[in-house]
Amino acid sequence: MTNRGLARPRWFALGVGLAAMLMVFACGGDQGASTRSEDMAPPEQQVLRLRLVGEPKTIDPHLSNFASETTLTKPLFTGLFTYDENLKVVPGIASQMPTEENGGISRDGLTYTIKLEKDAKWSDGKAITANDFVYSLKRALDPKLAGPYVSFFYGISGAQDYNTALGTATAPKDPSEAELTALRDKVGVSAKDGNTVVYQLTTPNPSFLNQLALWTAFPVREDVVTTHGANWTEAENHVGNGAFVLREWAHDERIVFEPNPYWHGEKPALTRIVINFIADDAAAYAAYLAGDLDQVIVPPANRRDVLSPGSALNEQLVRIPDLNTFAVFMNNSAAPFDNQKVRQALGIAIDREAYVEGVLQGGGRPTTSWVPPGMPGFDASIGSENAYNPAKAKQLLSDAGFPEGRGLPKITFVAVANDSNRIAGQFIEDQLRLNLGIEVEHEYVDSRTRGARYTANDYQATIISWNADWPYPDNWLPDLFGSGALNNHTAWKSMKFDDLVRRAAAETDDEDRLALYGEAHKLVIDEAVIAPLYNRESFVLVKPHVKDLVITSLDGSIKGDYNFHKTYIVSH
Amino acid sequence: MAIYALKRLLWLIPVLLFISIVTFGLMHAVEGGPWDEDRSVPAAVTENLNRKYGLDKPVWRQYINFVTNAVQGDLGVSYQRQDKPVTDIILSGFRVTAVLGLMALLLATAAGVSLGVMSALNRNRLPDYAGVLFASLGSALPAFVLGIFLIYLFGVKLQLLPTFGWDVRRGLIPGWLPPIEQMVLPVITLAALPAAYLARVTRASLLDVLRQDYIRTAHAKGLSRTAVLTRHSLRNAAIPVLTVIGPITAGLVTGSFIIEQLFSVPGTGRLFVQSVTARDYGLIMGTTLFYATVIVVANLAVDLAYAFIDPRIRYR
Repeated sequence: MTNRGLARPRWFALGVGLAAMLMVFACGGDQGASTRSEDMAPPEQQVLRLRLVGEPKTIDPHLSNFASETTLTKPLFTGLFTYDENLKVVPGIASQMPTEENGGISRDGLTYTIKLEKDAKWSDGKAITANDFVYSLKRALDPKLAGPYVSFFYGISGAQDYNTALGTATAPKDPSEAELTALRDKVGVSAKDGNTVVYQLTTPNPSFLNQLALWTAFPVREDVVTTHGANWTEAENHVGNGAFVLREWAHDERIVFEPNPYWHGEKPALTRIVINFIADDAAAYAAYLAGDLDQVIVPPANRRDVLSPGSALNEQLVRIPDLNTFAVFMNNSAAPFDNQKVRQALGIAIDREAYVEGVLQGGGRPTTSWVPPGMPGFDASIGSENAYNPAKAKQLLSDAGFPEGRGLPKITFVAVANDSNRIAGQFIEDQLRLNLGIEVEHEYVDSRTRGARYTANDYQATIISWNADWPYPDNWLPDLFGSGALNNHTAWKSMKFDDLVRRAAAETDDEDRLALYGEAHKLVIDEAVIAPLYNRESFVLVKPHVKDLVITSLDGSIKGDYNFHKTYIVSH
Repeated sequence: MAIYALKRLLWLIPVLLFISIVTFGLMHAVEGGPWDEDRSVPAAVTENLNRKYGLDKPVWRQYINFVTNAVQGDLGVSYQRQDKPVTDIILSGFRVTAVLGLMALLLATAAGVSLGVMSALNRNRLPDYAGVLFASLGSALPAFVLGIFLIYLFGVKLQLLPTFGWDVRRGLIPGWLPPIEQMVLPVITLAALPAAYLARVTRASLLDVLRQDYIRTAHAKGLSRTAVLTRHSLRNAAIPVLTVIGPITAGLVTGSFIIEQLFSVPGTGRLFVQSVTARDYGLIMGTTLFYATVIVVANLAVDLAYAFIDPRIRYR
């Protein structure tokens, strides 16, 4: 389906259920690989021109963590598993989905035996073997490589011991090379034969196959990495196994992909993907209008023009909900946010509809729940009692012991200094003044300072955006709200919550598991640990000559990154 | 004069040492480090990163390591750019920035000085008003407004020029100059402010000179108008202009964050800002020391140029 009929400012109100089910829109035409239209442009015109905000830190999948980096790894590498248009995990290099029935998953859920596609090859023609995956996981976990995004694999036996072998600043360890090698050898991944890789877990993990579809699980080639060191990601050295290969990397200017001749999947129609590094949003938007780009994210200032029905640009608009939520995070351990009623009052006093209309210029979906639409376990009714209601908010503040805000300690939000955050900050200040009668302040700092304060629980309130790594609520609840969890920076503690997510992780039935996560989710919202504000959406323009650009809710900075092999250009 | 120049250059050493200590101290003193993002990673993973880049050592030790490597020409690696050596990043960016800056300097000088002379010679007449109007506009319009306006006009509406890029590989002089159409807008945008400034300084300076007795004398003894202008007036009026050209040059060749950001020019201007916000320590040190050197050298060049223009100035 196309999204055109829904492209009105408030389409979400009607469309969200539908969007949650489909989550994907093939823009400008039919979906599916076999329906490439007959007026397909000749090969020399099969060029897709895209924009990235700047030089990426890396394109090494084991070192990537930002959406601007992971978005480049997806066309260049394929993991054992990947996602289809509906964000279902499907085989990538694996020959089939492992199940208990086909012996892929052991009965205790601790051993995964995965067979590889027989004719899968690297971009230089060499066969992909099980050993490539064994090497890659061990490399990703190597403490000396210092990959930032590997802790997801701590559930594999020996993984955490190896990755943390050198200790921390407060508790350093000094293992010998032999000891390190021994720890590396103990990591629970092995090649049963040239074509079969086996993973050994310490506890059952319902999201393990999702995690094997993450970029950190993409394979890299040992001889290439060893020969070229850090330079293996340069265009002249790079070997990958994705639908595309790296043809050119002109640093600080652009990256160019071309089809991988050895890719085992359907041959891409595109002959080139040119990714230009354009830092400025307004300049990128101008480049799109001038016809120099085929896709652009619409800056908030231009959203109104694009939304006006019937305009040429409106025809090119594609709106896809992201698996993302923005929420006010509050430090639950310090006054005044140690008081549940104060937290609740703050959430109820903010008009989210007005936020989306005003601050975001229509690009987003107001929400009172945390787990976003499109995610299994999404429940719009959670938090509905926290909808905007100034009278109720005032009452709650009064019940909390601060009638009309009297006696309330000073509240300062901390935010990253940029234009859109200043607009948002102004809005929040106005709302709280108007609806609660209290004056809050904002302190604008740079992103590292905000990061340092937030992760050290050295803040009162701040707006945090959370993106899904994979589409399942275990990525959204235990790690953020569990007692002492890695990303718990609200300092909220609940034994009941801990118990619910522990039971959910051990549950083998999907429906029961989601129900447990649902209860945990509801608890977080009932206690107003955070105040969810809105779900972000991809708000992009795509030129009409680009067909089958399949955008999913998990895409990175460049939309369509999982499925460029399906995209093609028609004559124009 | 050679000895004077050498002395001035030797002063660079204590200057750079001082700047490096202050910068190093400040960047480690501010809140937030290179790995402080909203999403936490386990302490062991952070420590793996610190160890990889030598940040696990005490700050004084890190500074000694930095200086030891720096005197051997190694400024460390950038955490944000594939661990590439800082020197490589700065040098390749500088080639772009310097070319862009020099082109803008040429344009700004040519346009600014001509306008200034035109204004001064036609004082309080139409050409003067036009010149002053241009100078006011040039200094009042921020680069990001002028730049985006030019992009919309020439890129989107008229479709005459590209909207982004600085591609030296396929350029006019491969490796140095991009195609002409890519140069037009960034050079004009970058030159606008210094051109306006130079026009004002030239006008004021020339008006001042034209009022001097020796100019009247020159006219009285029957010199032609052109001779008075070129040999007596302009030469004397040039000294204040040269004084401001020094800092302008330093500013232009170290790059403009806004222009490079707006036109996607891969120069050094944006490295400085990006490195600070990312706490990319190696790149912060590299760009700061590099800028300091460029500014010292540019000022020296201006001081030496005085001697050529004004015979009264001599350096020992």
